[in-house]
Amino acid sequence: MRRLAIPLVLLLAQALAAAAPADSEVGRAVYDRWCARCHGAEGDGNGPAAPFLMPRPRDFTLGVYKYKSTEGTRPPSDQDIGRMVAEGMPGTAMPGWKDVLGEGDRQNVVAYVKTFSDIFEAEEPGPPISLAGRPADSPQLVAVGKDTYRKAKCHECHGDAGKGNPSKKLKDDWGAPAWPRNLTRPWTFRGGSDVKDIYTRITVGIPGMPMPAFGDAGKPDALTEWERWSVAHYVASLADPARRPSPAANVAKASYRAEEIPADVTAQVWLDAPAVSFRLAPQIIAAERLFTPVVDQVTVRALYNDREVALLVEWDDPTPSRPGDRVQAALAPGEMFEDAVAAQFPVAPSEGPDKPYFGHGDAANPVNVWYWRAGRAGAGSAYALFDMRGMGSKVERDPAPSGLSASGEYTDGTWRVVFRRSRLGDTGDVPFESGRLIPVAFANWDGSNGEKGSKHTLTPWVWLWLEPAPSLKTAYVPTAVALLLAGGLLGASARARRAGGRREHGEGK
Amino acid sequence: MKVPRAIRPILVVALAYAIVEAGIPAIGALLKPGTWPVVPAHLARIYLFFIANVVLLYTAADEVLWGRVRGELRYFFGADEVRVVRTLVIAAISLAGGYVAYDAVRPRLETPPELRAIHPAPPASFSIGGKAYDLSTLNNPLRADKSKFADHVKAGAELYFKNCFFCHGDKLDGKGHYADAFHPRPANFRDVGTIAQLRESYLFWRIATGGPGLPREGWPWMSSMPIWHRFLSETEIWQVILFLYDFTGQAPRVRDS
Ligand code: HEC
Ligand code: HEC
Ligand code: HEC
Repeated sequence: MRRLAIPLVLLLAQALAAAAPADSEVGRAVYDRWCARCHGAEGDGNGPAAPFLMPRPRDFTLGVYKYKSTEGTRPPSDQDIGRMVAEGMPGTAMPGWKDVLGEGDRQNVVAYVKTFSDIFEAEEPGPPISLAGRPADSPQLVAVGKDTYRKAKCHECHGDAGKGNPSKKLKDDWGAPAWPRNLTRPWTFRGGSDVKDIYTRITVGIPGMPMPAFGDAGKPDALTEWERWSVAHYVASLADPARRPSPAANVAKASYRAEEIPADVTAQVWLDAPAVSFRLAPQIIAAERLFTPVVDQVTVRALYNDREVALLVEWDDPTPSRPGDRVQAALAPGEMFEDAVAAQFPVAPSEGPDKPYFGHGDAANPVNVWYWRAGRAGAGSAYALFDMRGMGSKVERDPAPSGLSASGEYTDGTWRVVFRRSRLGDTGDVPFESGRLIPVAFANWDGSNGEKGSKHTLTPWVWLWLEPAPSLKTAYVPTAVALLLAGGLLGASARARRAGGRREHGEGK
Repeated sequence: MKVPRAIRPILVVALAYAIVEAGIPAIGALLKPGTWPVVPAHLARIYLFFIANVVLLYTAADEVLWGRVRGELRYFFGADEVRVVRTLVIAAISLAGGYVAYDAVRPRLETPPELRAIHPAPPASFSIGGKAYDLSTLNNPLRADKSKFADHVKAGAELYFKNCFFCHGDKLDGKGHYADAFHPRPANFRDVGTIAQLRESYLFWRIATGGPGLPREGWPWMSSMPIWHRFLSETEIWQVILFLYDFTGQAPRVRDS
């Protein structure tokens, strides 16, 4: 009986907690402990952490909530706010709170957050928009969605390929720069990546942001329900999950090729080369620091032949920044510098765990840095080779004797930069032996985000591995072993048979 | 059914192999659920080498036994009745040998294990800008005046949310919004394995000197932990330390005297 009683009491308590109205006074304590340092003690979005974040923590005093499911200008429902609090907002500093706050605490803190604005007293949230008309997914529907994407001018903000590269400057209602979402990365969608969630965003928009609501029948740019479902399915079809970085995937594999490595990055061999994506973190380690990055990942492919090794580094960037380009400069929130990327290698990779310090090496362990920059508009891109022994110790060296070169191009929201170097390099260059793990780290500068010098994004040490060419050894050794075994055993058998025959013969005599 | 003598040694070795590869990890799993402690490959090879030799010696040492084994082998390799089986067995052994050889020579990608010491022994003393700190006598000076404790914690909280939460997380759980871009991952202060095990003087040394301040066994070249004496004053570092313990409810380890 006792055994049963405890779960029963717990159940009862839970049922009571769920039924009890949310208590904003209890919520205040939760808020002060967990939320105030970002959202501010007064709910005005001005906590001590706020200046270091983009997007900034929400200012609750205005009663504007971005991710809601209620019609038109109606305030969000408690479920809408509760969902953001429970699940968090991927791609922002807002974490999910399910792990530290129970259901009751979350309801209480939502009730408290609502007290910062009187909008909830003035108006009822109303019911959520209907999701009943969801059609089944089909290629035709996606094709219609593709047309709707153009018709609704989604591409003017999200780019032709959905990479989030706008053709006009966007700001949010608070005056901060607003970059449209990269639609190929649903894992960064704040309001969920299910077709239902995307449909909800398209229908009610994102309040406070330039992203319009396409479900307001009265507006000229409104879409029909069918069109909205179709474009939601189209957006879902743009997802590129293979590019989602994972901390476990930390090796860029270079495939061997007997022939030349093509300069054209759209050539089939490049498309077939295995790709791996790495998260970029802003350089928040040494002065001058960068706190609010825009570009947050790079994708790397590699090829090599007997003479050369080539790295293709790709990243989605809302703007190709080359100083002097007026059109692009107009999109940048501040002064625009040039986009750039770099790859760093230890000069002498060790067999053991030891490496140079990942922040540009140290006195005893130098690194090579291959650097490519977009250059000024009209002037073309440029590259350089640096030797470094610690931060701020850059020494430039002529890249020609190393056989280093780099070129890049920007299409449809993506930069593709190819570095090439001879396998052996010059003295002081890292050699590229096949079959060996070679540490490599990447850095990126987004010029339109004011990134320059030590203000950049970076990866920690990851690996480059030149996958050994299919060699004769891998074919001959096993064949030889198999033949030897077969020969030996067959020989033994022949001998045993002869011996048996002789014995029979002898016995017969 | 009687198992032929010639097969028995092979079965014994196969059984030993199964015990080394699966039996031992299974016992480990029983003792500590959720784990599967495999025997390292080089150790497994040594075990099997000895077991195979013992079995071979045992078989060869007894003349009667050895005679029977030889008889059976002769029968297997010589008799016409078992021709089909013989051919199949010879083919299977040859192919298996070929595969083992292929597996040994094929190119293989194995990233090295990361055996970095998470809490390496600190130095006896260290100095910052000419000022030396002796870790055996260093104490948090801000704990003396109880009346100012709350103010220091509050100041520490602000410092934390301007400098540390990107990596160590606003919940102090090591899951800041940039945490998974760094390797090794930032420390989780709520875990009982971090600050709860350490003295405040140890934290002071770690925070002041950062990743590059680690000794070799802590892999200073990998850690993204910044060198905080370049950004924070001595008092500020002590304030952050007070906040870390206060917020997580952990207590620092005290010097055992
Ligand atoms: C580390 C900083 C941080 C902390 C701590 C934090 N938030 Fe947030 N929060 C943010 C940011 C940044 C945004 C804005 C994201 C955006 O605009 O895309 C946000 C947005 C929100 C939103 C708006 C959702 C919407 O639809 O617009 C709510 C509600 C919210 N937070 C509630 C909370 C609550 C409740 C807590 C405490 C339990 C909390 N936050 C703690 C950073 C934080
Ligand atoms: C005027 C510019 C603009 C137009 C037009 C526009 N968007 Fe957006 N969209 C944005 C911005 C800006 C954001 C990012 C908002 C934020 O970060 O809070 C966004 C975000 C999104 C998101 C992400 C939602 C989430 O949960 O994170 C989706 C999906 C989306 N838009 C789809 C579309 C589709 C489909 C269309 C056309 C029907 C469209 N957008 C038209 C500017 C626009
Ligand atoms: C750029 C990311 C980053 C920032 C910012 C950062 N840390 Fe760290 N920190 C790390 C990493 C990674 C580790 C684990 C590796 C190591 O031990 O060096 C770590 C380890 C630590 C440790 C050692 C914990 C242990 O169990 O040994 C302490 C203490 C610490 N950090 C305190 C701080 C404080 C205080 C701040 C802010 C003033 C801060 N960190 C800011 C990345 C960071």
